Amino acid sequence: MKDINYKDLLIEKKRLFDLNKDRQLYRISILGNVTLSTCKEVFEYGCLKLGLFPKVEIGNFDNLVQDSMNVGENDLVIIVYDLYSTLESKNIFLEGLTTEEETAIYEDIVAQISQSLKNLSSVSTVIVNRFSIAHFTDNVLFHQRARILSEQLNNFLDSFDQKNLVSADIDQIYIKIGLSKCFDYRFFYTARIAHSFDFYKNYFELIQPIIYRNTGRFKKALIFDCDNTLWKGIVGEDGKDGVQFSKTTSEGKYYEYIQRIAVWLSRKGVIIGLCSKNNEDDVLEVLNMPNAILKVENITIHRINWDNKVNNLRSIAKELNIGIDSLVFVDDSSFEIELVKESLPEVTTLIVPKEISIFPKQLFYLVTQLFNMKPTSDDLNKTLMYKTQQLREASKSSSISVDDYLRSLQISCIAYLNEFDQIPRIAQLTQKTNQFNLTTKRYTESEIKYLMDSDSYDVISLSVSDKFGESGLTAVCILYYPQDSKEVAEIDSFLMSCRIIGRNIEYQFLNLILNVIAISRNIKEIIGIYSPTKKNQLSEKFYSEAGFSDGLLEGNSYFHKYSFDKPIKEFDYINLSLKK
Amino acid sequence: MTTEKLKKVMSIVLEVPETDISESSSPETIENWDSLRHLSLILAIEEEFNIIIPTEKIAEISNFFSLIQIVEKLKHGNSN
Repeated sequence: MKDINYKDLLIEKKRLFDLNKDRQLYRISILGNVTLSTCKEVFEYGCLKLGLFPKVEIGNFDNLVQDSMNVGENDLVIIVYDLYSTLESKNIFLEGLTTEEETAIYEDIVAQISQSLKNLSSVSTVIVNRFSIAHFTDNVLFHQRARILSEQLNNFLDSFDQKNLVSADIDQIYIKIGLSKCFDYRFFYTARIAHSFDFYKNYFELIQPIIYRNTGRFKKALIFDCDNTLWKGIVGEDGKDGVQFSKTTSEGKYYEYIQRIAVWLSRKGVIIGLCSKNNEDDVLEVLNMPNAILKVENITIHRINWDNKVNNLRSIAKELNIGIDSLVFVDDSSFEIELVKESLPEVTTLIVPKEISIFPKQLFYLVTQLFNMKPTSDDLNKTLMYKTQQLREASKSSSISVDDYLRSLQISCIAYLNEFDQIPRIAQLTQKTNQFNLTTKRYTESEIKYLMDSDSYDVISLSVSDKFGESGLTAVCILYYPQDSKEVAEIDSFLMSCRIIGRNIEYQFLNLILNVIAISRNIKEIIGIYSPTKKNQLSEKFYSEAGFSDGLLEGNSYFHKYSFDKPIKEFDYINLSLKK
Repeated sequence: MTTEKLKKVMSIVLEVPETDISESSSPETIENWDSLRHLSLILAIEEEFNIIIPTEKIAEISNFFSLIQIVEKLKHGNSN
């Protein structure tokens, strides 16, 4: 909401109004002593985005008490009372007023608000903005009397005993975005418009949890990716002892806070789940560590596999028997987040920010906005309840067009042949990569250099980028040309960082190896080798799926052949070229 | 360029077809162009062109033609 400009908001609002025709009606009235028309569109848009069909009415200028008599049927009424506008009609500095006159101002406002609140007792929620003098007192020392008046009025609000009353602290918005963004004095003096468009966008966010609660549409499950989301590091690469999630480690401290939020929520009846591309055992090992904060018992549901996350989130919602729109999904990969956003727009997503220190605050803000923080005793048992109720339904793979999404990414790769500059990174990749690694051969920098120099080897490295940015050098292939059989080549190594798994880049890379590199050497047959390890099941079927023959087991490895007799699996949306 | 962009913004804010907007269009000829929509229009234009229209200029906007002129002037004033 915060990023949308006014014109786009109007366009989007119009579109959503048509789309939401049959959705739940939600009636809001905004009443006050200033001109409020600017907030109408923001409220309409905000409600539409929440899947509601809004009817927003704006009260007449300074007609609070009378207006409040006519809106008793509404779901939400907001009262905006700008103190400046009242004081201005007397004396903005309250100077020269007798104590009686000053008391009269206070009593008049209290009477208006009390009477309005009484008229609104049947409305499910009434929000009254807290009184503020921030926008007309740069230096409160000179406005002591106004400050005291405002404090007295806030005390009155706090002591007013009516169950449906909530007071909204608008000073928080002033602090957050700055006064100059909250007010447009051009319109304040000419049209008595107290707050700006930017202010109302933030205001809507402030009160959004109330609308969630009123309409029963708060979120129910928070689903986390694991690597670099719940902990620093990649468990498949770094091992359970290599990942960091404790405040005693340099990079783990942020993640400790994240895990604490998850545990806290699980105690408040929020379902915590995992959706991660990983080997299940690796992840469970971390959660079972003695110093783990988030433990297996806090996790209600998980999908830890190599299937795409859209299918996994669908299957999570289905198994929990909640709407897909009840899910919030957190991941560090913009690839995964965008895929979910495009295929499941109902899911609320949060990407782990690049500046990791703001991650805990962002997550905390999001959960307090979206989840119901006043749990009943029934809610408390939900983790248990969902766990026992889980129907182990086989997840049917669904038919979203992942291809369309991948196409939209504009993936672009550059391959390098025996490029000396990249030796350190290539060696590092062979050392670290476990999951998509066909032979898991480890090489040192000097070994890689030797291979590059040798006539019997080619080292091809691949750098990947897409519209979200650079993934850097993330794949390596080493080709071996045995001296004795001139027209044959072996794929000694083929590996890819897990950062780019799931985008079919491996097939396109293989295509280049076969149809550009090998062909230039007049190779007629290529042998792809798969050597199973504990961690590389992911790459098991790579050669057969690409179009090589089925593997023949010899020793500990499977040998797949390719003789250029049929095309290799190809993805035209990946732009891949060899750097000359 | 400015004219076309302005027309588009105006058509969205005032909810009238672009073809109904001409240089002489004014609050008198377009029913939706009331005083409140006038402010919405200014907000949308300011965001679109990344300009700020000063209060005295706001008062000078009497029709679409005067709006084009004001925006043109401010745009050039802003671009370095």
